[in-house]
Amino acid sequence: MGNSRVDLSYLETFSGGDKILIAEMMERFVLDAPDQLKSIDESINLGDWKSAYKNLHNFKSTLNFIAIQEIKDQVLAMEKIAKEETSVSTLKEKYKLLFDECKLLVEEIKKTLSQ
Amino acid sequence: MNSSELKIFALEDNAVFSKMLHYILSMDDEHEVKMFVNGRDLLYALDENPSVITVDYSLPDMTGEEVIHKIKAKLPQVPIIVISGQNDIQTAVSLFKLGVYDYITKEEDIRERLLNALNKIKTKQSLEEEVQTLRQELSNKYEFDNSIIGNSTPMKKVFQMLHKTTNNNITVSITGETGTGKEVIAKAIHYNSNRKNKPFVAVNIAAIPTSLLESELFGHEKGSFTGAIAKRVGKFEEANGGTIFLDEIGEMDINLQAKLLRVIQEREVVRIGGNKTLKLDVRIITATHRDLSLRMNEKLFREDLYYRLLGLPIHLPPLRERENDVILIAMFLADQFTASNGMKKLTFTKEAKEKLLKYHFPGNIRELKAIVELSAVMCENDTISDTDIQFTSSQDVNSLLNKDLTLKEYTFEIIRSFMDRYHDNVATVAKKLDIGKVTIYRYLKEMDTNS
Repeated sequence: MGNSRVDLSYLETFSGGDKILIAEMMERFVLDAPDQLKSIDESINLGDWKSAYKNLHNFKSTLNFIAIQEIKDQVLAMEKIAKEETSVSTLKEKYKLLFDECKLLVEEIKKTLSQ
Repeated sequence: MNSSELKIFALEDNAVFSKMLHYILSMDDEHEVKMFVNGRDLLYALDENPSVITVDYSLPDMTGEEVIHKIKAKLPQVPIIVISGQNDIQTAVSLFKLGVYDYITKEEDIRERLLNALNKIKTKQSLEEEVQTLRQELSNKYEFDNSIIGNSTPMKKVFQMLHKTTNNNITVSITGETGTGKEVIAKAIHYNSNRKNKPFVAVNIAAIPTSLLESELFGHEKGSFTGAIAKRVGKFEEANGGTIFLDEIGEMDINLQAKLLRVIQEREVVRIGGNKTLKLDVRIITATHRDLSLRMNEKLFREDLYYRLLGLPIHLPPLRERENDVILIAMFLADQFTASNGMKKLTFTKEAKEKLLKYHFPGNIRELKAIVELSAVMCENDTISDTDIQFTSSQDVNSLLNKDLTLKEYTFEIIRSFMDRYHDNVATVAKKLDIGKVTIYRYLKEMDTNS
């Protein structure tokens, strides 16, 4: 994975380059991402495939705006596992990686917002 | 809400995407946007009549399909745009089959695609509103009181009959001389019935060559005969759900009458050269200036078809029997003509009215229209006088009086004129002239001897 985990191209196209809205969306991500990650973690630990799939699918939409493709692909792979109900242990491992990536992503966004 | 305004309901459970969606949808001041995070709340709010709904395919409380089914059940006409995180063709196809308006994926071009879809919906709604307005205008134009002028005794009978046609689908057969307004009556029946929002299709049997009429009425498949280069939908099919008006039905070729009878009996049609049977729900109104019973006796009109088409018979009296209606119609036609030509409203002098009342109008309302329009152009000072009124027929009373005849010769002329006017019906002529039938026969015999 390269240096930056943030990709704002989707958000810029979507918002038509509205800087205020882009900043608002970044703030929104910083606020929402921890809760969404927590929900994913809980559903995986409970072995609730259906909830895990829904939460991952939802988080994918959130990441779509802001993260680089590698992180989006990570969620996509997890979503597939949850949908096909294949392996809880793999899902747990992948969650750890995703959590770490998102932590760094949030920090990077916070830094950008403070500038 | 006019056609450029849209009340948009957007169902999106992802908070971040929901914010973005709200931002895009609200960019246009004429959009009223309401966001929903679950299907249940959206379905509960459908009573507020949104003009378009966007639905996220993956929802927390129910599937996108489930929501779409429920929206369609309650608001079948409201366009639904599905916004999905997955670019899945199979899902898209199945959603289109459910009747969704568009399927947009959460890709980078979502903003453009969404706005395009909304613009198309606005255009469609604007056209639908226009069609609705035009239909309403047409419906108002053909309300019995607006489209049919007259309060003479014979027309009161016509109005009574017309009101019997409104709440049912009975076949109506209209008879009357040329120019008495048979098509206007047919349209009025259609636009005052529960079929008024469906097509009214008029076919003038006399104006279509016999060789083409079958295809015109029932349609044909491509290649069914030489010259059938493309499929053609027939008039019956075109009128499905509405009304077909078969004008001058008495002129229909006897061989085609058998085919028409089958279509009417079976309530279905098969295009020429086709094998698919199409079910019909069409109200039939016919018109003729002929006496169909006479045509039937002459074996020119099928008896079985005659009785099938008779339904509710409405006879339109000729203008000469409509008493003061002539003046009412003349004034209406003058108003219509001046309004459409940007002219001042016209009035008729007493003498002009008397002149109109004395004339027998062999061409009926069509002739009156031509006379009024010509006099409207010829008149001075916004008043139509008797000298502005020019009759096309030489049979008017004034021209008769201009002749240098003996009293007996005048009597003969009058008898001849009345016999022509009332189709040699001695009883009617005797009644009109207030003399005995024997006297009429005596004059006729004398005229015959003299000639």
